[in-house]
Parts: sequence; C-alpha cells; structure tokens
Amino acid sequence: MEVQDFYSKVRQLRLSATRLVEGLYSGNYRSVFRGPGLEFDEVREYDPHDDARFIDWNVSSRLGSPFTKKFREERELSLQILVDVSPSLDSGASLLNKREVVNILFANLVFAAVASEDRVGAVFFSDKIEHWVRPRKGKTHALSLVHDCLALRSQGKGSDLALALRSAQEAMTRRGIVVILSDFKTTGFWKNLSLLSRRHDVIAIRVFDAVDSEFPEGGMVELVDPETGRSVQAYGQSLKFRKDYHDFWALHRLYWKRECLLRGVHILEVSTEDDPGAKLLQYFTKRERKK
Amino acid sequence: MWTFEAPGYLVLLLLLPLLVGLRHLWRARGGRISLPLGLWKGAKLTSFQPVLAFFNALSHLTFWLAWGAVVLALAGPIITHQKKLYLNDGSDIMIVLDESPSMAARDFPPQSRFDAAKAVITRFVHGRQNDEIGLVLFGSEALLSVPLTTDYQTFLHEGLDRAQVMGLGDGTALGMGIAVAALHLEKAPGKNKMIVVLTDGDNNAGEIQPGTAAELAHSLGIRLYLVGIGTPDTVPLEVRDPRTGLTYSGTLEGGFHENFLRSLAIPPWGQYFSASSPGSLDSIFQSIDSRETSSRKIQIQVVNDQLYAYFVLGALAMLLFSFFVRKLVLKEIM
Repeated sequence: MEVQDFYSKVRQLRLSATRLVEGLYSGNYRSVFRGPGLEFDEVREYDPHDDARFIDWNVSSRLGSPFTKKFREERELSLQILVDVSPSLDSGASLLNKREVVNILFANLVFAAVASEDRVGAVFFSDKIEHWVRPRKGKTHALSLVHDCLALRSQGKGSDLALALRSAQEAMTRRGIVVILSDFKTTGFWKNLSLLSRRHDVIAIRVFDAVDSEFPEGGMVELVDPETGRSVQAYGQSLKFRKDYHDFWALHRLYWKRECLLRGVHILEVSTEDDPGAKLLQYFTKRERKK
Repeated sequence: MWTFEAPGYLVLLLLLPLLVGLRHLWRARGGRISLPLGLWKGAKLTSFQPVLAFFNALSHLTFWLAWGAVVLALAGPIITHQKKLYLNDGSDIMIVLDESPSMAARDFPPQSRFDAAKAVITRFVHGRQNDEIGLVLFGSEALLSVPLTTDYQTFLHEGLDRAQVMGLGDGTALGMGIAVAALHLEKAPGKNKMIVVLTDGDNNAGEIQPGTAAELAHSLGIRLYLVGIGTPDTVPLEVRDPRTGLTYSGTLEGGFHENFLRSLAIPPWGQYFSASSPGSLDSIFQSIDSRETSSRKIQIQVVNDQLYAYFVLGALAMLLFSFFVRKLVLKEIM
C-alpha cells in the first residue's frame, strides 16, 4: 500500500466515524455504556461534614479514630477492541471484503471512543496475539491505532479467540467495554467469554458475507480453506450441496447467537453489503433507547 | 512383440506422478477459491455428492490417462513380427488324383480309397512350405483343378474339397492325368519338379496312353511318383453319380492293377509305392516328403507396425471426454 493511499484511507475512515461520533454526542453518552459509577479510591480521616454511611469501620477500629472511604467517580471508560486478523476474513463476494468492513468498524469505534475522552486499546489476534496496544487516550493514539490496524499483516493461520479473550481479561483491571470484531468461525472460547462478560460490557460484532450463508448457484468449483488449506469440491448446481452448505452455517449462526445471549453478550451482525458506520450508529441508538 | 522405438521418452512417465501431485496435492497451487470451510479447530463443512464426485474423478482419470497415452505415443510403440522370405525356389509338385468310380471302394473302412487319399494329401500339403503345389483330377478326362500355387488354403478349399468320385465321368484316363500334369509342370520356373499320382491303377479312357505320358514326364525332367491305392481283395463299393443323382452299389473284385503301375515307374525318374492301408499311405507321403525336402535359404525380415496413431487418437478422445464432462456435466466454472 502506498503511503499516500494509506493516509487518504485513514482520513476516509475518520470521516466515516464522524456520524457515529456526533450521533453518540447528541444523546447522553453515559447512557449508552454503563460506566462503573463510583469507585473506591482511598480512606481518609472522617470530617463531620462527611456522610456517616461511608465510614470504614475496619480501618477506624484498627487506627482508633474514624476514617471515611473516599470515592472517585470513574469518568472515563476503557474500551478494548479485539480484532480478528485471521485469513478467514479475507474472503467475500461483495465490494468490500470482511477485512475491510472490520477495519471500518474498528476505526469508527476508535474515533468515537477518543472523541468521548475514553481510553481505547486493541488486541489483534489470529492463532496468536499478533499485536497488542494498551488503552490510552488522545487523537494521536487513535490515529496510530488505525494505522496499526491497516498496516498489520497477519502471519497466523487460525483464530484463537479464547486466547484473545484471556489476554483482554488479564489486561483490563477495571471495568470496561470489550468489543469483539470477528467472523466467529472458531471454537473453544465460550468459557473465556463467560468469564469476561461477567465483569465487562461485551459486544460481539459478527462480520459476514453473503457467501457465508448461501452458496451461489452455478457449477463446480474447487474451494480451499484459507486457514487449514483443506480443499473441497463445491457443486453449485447441486441442490443438496447448497442445502448442506446453508444448513452448516445457519446452524453455526444460531448456536453463536444463542450462546452469546445466554452469557449476556450483546450481539451485532454486520454484512459486507451494509454500511458499517450506519449499522453501528443504529445499534447504539437502539441500545440507548432501551435503557 | 511390443517394443518402443524411442524408449527414452518413457522417462516422461515419471513426470506424471509429479504433475498429478502438484495438481491434486499441492496446497498452494492456486486456481481455487479461498472460502472458509469450517470452524477453526471445530466442525468442518462436508457434503458428499456421489454422482458428481464420480464424474469428477472420472474426468481427472481420463485426463491423466490421456497424457500417459501421449507419452507412450511419443516413445513410438511398435509391434514387430517376423516374416520369412524364401530366397530359393521350392519344388513344384503336381498332385494327380483319380476320380474314377473304383476309388469309392472301401478298402480302408470306414473310409473309401478316395477319402483316404484326400486326407493324406491334406496332411502332406500342411507339411510343405514354399513349394508350389497344383492339382490335376481325372476321370474319363483330365483337367487342371488348381494350377501350381503356394496358396495352400486355396488349394485345399477350392480344389481338393470340391473333388468327388465320378466328378469327371466314370472312366479312368490315367495317361491324360499324367500328361496334363506334365504339360503344366513344363512351363513352371522351378528346377525340382515332380508328379504324385494317386490312383487304383487302371487306364480305360483318354487319348494318351499312361506309358507315353510317363515317358513325356521323364523327358521333361519330371519325377513321377505313382501311388497305388487299394487291396487286391473284394471290397464293397457305393458310389453316387453327381450328374444323375443315382447311387450305384456293389462289390469290386481286384480292381487294382499293381503291375501295370509298377511298369510305369521307370527308374531313376519314377518310383512306385503300394498303399494297402491308411498307415502305409501316410508313410509313402512321408518318404516323398523327405526326399523332396530341398535345402532352403530363408531370410527373416522384421516388420514394424507403427501404433502411435492409436495412442494419439486415444489421448485426444480422452482429453475431449474429460473436457466435456467437466464443462457440460460438472459445469466447471474455472
């Protein structure tokens, strides 16, 4: 990718994020994501003006004089974005492939978070953690994140979501928001998702393509799995093949949806034919209205 | 025998498994559409279409067989066979067979003299190679049934099989038979000429006396073997006239004139044999056979038939078949 192209691409992504940013500002931002509210900060000596409810009795009895708990209001949220960079996202029959849709969603979220003075970090994963960025604030950080996302060339063959979830869990000491950008064509992550969703606000964004649910009618073609290299003869003219194909992915999608909802994970499905920015805004508006 | 003109090209056959491997087993080959076909470390999409899979396998098989055939064609498959070329001429043998009614006498039960003679001639002819053999038949007159030829099949089927008792009337023109044979042998190019006469020894018809005919043969340098068939006993006789369709039957008493025949054989050119049993008839012919076996010079020529055209055509047919199966039956996209 040429450097010139690269910056124009970043600018485009930034522009596409403005709608989301403004949309979120127009409503009450805090109502979209529930912040942690008050958080215990330290104990200090009790002042008669203080609320007697917040006296820390343990400390008071230990030290002989009354101490009160001091709280700090958590003003800023921490947003952690888990980005799937496995080869399975490189396919797609539409104008944009899944990878590009993920990039747009990622940039939108990053710019929106930065505009709300929130800290944002990212974990790029395939079958290993390809890149990890600590949550920070600021526009420069946002640009560098988007740059990292666009410039990353994945070497892995596979998508170990469980590993990414575990890393996020270990890295996030405070309550925060976790957004997963993936096609979810992976297994073995449900336990980690349960653990993470217990503490954090998790949103699973599933990016898919038309070809991921229906095999196009036509003739024979040889398919190869980008991750395993397994080759399969596809017979587009065979009703049975198209049905098998549809059933396989429909079942997987149903299972994914049910398991996510069971764990209180919010889900959003974005097709490569959708406008990713509009889809995000619509999702956040709906969430706000629900509250 | 199968061989190849340029077997060096067969080394290319070793290349075929490599190509098959590259085409079917090499993962990074390309020409395939990348599409997720399952979950990472999870369930895999499987779908089995037996009929389409069969046609797919068939098209691949014919495709590779076609290339195998092309390599074989390149190596120049030939089928070689040896052809004998006779450098010197063989003997010219004229067989003279008596068709008179007395030949129907059953001296060799259940065979008649005539059938026994035919069977022995057949065996004799099968034993010869490169000799020109002709057939003269005589009854009340004589004719050349088969001119001198090396085409023994024609001799047997067109000449000997058609001969029948009383085919040429009810006489015995022995002199005419020998004379006709001698005349036809006269112009034959070979150096070793002979007449084998099978008769029961009578002459009661024809313009030429047997003695005159025998001398004529001698003067032409033709050896004369006379074979007297039959026994001096009284033997039953049954003969059907092919012209009238009437069947005559009776007994034949001493219808065999051995002394007369013996007188015709003038050494050193002539020789007489007496055959009173089928076995003796065979041994007579064996002795003639051994006497007349001339030293042969044979050259063996190796003839090669080119077969590459079949392989090329076969390869073309298989390639076309494979192509049409893939495009029409399987509707291959790329």
